[in-house]
Amino acid sequence: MNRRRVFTSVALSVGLAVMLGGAVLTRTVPPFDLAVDLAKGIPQSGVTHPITAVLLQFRSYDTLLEIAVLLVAVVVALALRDPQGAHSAAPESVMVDSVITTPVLASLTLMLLPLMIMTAVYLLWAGAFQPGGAFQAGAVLAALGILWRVSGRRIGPFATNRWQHVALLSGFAAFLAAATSTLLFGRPLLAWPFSYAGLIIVAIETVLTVSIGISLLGLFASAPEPVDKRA
Amino acid sequence: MLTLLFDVLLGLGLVVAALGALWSRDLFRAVVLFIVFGLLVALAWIRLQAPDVALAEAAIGAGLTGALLLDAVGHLRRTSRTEDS
Repeated sequence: MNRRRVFTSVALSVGLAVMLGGAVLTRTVPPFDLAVDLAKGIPQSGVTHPITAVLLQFRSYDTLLEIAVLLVAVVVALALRDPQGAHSAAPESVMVDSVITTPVLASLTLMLLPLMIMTAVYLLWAGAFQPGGAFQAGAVLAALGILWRVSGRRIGPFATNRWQHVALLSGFAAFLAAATSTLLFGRPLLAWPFSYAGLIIVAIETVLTVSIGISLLGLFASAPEPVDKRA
Repeated sequence: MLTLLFDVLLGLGLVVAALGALWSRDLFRAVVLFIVFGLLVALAWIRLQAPDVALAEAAIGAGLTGALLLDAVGHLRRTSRTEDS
């Protein structure tokens, strides 16, 4: 049985390797060079970093849908949350086991708090002209929230807090509002006027950062809390 | 020459970390190896000159997913312990 499984997986891996090799060897060169086209379009995008220009200007429809997918994922995670855990009267009592409370961690978290917020803001700001952007900045914010939670501080009942719902929604809502507002002025969807493009992109990224941070943190914070049967 | 050596070592490290994460019997060890794998992938993205992807991989692939998996391992350990006693 075990030998057969090993044989099957080896055969599958070899088959995949052969197919990949074949695909690499027989690939056709596309008749256009996207990098060159992108470099030509950068001056019209409002930002100078090509990745940000692609994410929030040339292919912003993809990013809009990505944010929608992230939102749906968090909503599902919140919905799957144990309803008993969300409404339990004393959440602290079940949390005791899952947190590490050492003075070093507690003080380190407090020291890291301003540093990590600064890093997130820097990444957001840097996104306009060098690697960085809303997703990375949001991940740093989420990491801060996770540290905060792991070191024993409560974030609050995530599934029932209205402000957290607003923050979750705000990213997608702001992006969608910005995307559709162009229709009011007779322009196509997501076609921002050139003179405001940079400003709009930075504004959307700022809202997205907070929203992505809260979303990623929500996936962590809405994980079922340990059921402590000894209590 | 030195960069080639680095790339080869990085590739080998990726395979070793991935195999270790898959075959490890201890879940905690598997998660730690998964985080190591994520960090090595981030390095590989930097070598492929994609620093944006590297940043996202390090933050989300290694950091957040690692934290989620560690949380899940702790959860599993606690539930099995309470069921034993």
